[in-house]
Amino acid sequence: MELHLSVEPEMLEFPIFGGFQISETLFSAVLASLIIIIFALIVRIFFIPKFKQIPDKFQMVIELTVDAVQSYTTSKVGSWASKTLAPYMYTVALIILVNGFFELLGIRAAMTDLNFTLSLALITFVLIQAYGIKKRGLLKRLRAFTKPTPILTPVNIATSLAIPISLACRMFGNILGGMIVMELLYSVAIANLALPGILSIYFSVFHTCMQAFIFITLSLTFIHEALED
Amino acid sequence: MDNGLVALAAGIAVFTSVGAGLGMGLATGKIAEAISRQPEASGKIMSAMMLGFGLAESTAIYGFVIAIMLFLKL
Repeated sequence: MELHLSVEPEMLEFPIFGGFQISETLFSAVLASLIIIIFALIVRIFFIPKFKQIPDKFQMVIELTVDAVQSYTTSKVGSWASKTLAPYMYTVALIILVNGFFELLGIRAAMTDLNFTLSLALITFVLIQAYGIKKRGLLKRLRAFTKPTPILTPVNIATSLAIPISLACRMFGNILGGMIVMELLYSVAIANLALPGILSIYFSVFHTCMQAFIFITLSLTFIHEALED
Repeated sequence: MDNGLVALAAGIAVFTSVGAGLGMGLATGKIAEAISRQPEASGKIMSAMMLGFGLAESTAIYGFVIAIMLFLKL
């Protein structure tokens, strides 16, 4: 097999509506969103009215995951902020994991595009400032930039701007690196037989779960720091 | 001349992983010592370890991505 390798995603052609082009990663992000929305609608309409007091298998799995995310969020930011933040973190974890599953099937994951990870990081940046302003008021939030000494104000502003950029580049770099190593492995003739199946457990599954966990933990840590001033 | 310099730059860019390997190795030593001191706190120690490794590995990944982007320009 020859080597198709590029950092930018390729453009796909769609012949409907007079032929337009979208990139591979936009297609994969929209597909993952549609799968999550349809799954959520099916669970809400068909399964939730039948939930019992003593749960059976499917209900127990869903309750375990929701409870894990909710208790983790509450232990990091407190119970007032985790009413809104716990569902959002669950959604972020779901979309990152569904994209990681796409990576196993050969579709290019949406996190290998810097636009996607930068959008998630900018949402985190807005959440940090918004929670700080909502709890403390606008003046105290601005005064928190001069906290140790007023001389360090440019350093504090630069740190606030560097946080979303580093979050975006961390996830982009990790998942792109895993994808490149797997593509290089597929193009070697002899190692094509069983080695990608074994190594993709580490590169595609473990790295994706770790990066989702780190993204959520870092977002919650910075929001907690903005709330605790 | 241009191709040689680009290849050399791609080779130098991967040197960022030296710091990551050194840091993570030293941290694992301290983690093993801490778990041996108090085995019942090993859950919290492991979760702190996961977080620290993800953060420390990201600097190595930055250098790797730059090396790949240079390597594909050859």
